[in-house]
Amino acid sequence: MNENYLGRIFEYNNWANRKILDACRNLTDAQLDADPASATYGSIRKTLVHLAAAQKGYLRLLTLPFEQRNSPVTLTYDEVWQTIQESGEALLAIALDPSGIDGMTRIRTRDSFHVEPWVLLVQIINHGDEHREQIKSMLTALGITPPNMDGWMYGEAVGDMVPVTT
Amino acid sequence: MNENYLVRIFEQNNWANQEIIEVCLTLTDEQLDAAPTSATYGSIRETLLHLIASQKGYLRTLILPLEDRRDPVMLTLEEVQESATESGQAFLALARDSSSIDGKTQIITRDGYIVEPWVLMVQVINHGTEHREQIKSMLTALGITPPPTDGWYYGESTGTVAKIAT
Repeated sequence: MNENYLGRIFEYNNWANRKILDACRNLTDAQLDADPASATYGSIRKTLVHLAAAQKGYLRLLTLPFEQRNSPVTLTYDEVWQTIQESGEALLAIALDPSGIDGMTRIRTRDSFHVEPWVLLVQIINHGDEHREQIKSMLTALGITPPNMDGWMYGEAVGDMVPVTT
Repeated sequence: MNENYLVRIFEQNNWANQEIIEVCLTLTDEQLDAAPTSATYGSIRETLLHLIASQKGYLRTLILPLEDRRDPVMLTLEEVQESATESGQAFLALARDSSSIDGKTQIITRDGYIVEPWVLMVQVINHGTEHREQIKSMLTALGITPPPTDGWYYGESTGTVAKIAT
């Protein structure tokens, strides 16, 4: 059976989101709200909330009619974990079977753009990687070693990358 | 015809690489070699060379036998644009038609790992985004506005994100 590389990319996105959330789980409020020392969306807290809210927003664009998503996604920090999980699973299902979005075109966004569905799938992956990288930078600035969560590590995590035994 | 979402992800990766390279090629040596003030791979020069050399390396891992890729990929800044284009086009071709790698398994890497092909497809995208984000952070620290390279901007650049006319 041929590999579903798109599915793997979205699986990776979900795994990486869990890794970054785990890394931030035990941060203090001071650490979560520390001013970033590098170019980021905002503090760790703000960036995490933005990451989760945006992913949910992208999913809504793909799955809901305009009139049902005309208000912005607003989340509390406490809602981030569940939101990331739920939207991530839904997006993975789309990646594994995009038939539900294949016929869509000119999706209307809340800020008055028309967008094709593929743009959203690209944006989900790119947006997640960018903001997780920013959070990792902020963790480093706090003296916290960020998780190693690149493709190689995901491959190792699922057993598809292993050291050659000698 | 159904959209090939994997292709779109690799197209965006190629476009984003060229956007970053174009900006970096306008920098002075001092800017290219400035010590980073945030967590990055290294200077802009080092990170850019690493990004593009790695992409070539991932491609070689997928398409060449181990004996033909034992030496590391070495690039100069002058070679970066062409190398990014060549490897990027090759990855795009794989995204369009993965038949040449679908049957592969247990690829041996130069550093002694066995890896499945999908891991490399995930790593190319994640690695590119992470290092481009680091370069963008360093550009910002130099007072240079980095190019937007996310999915939305790629969509706009291809005319598939368009403002609704009022």
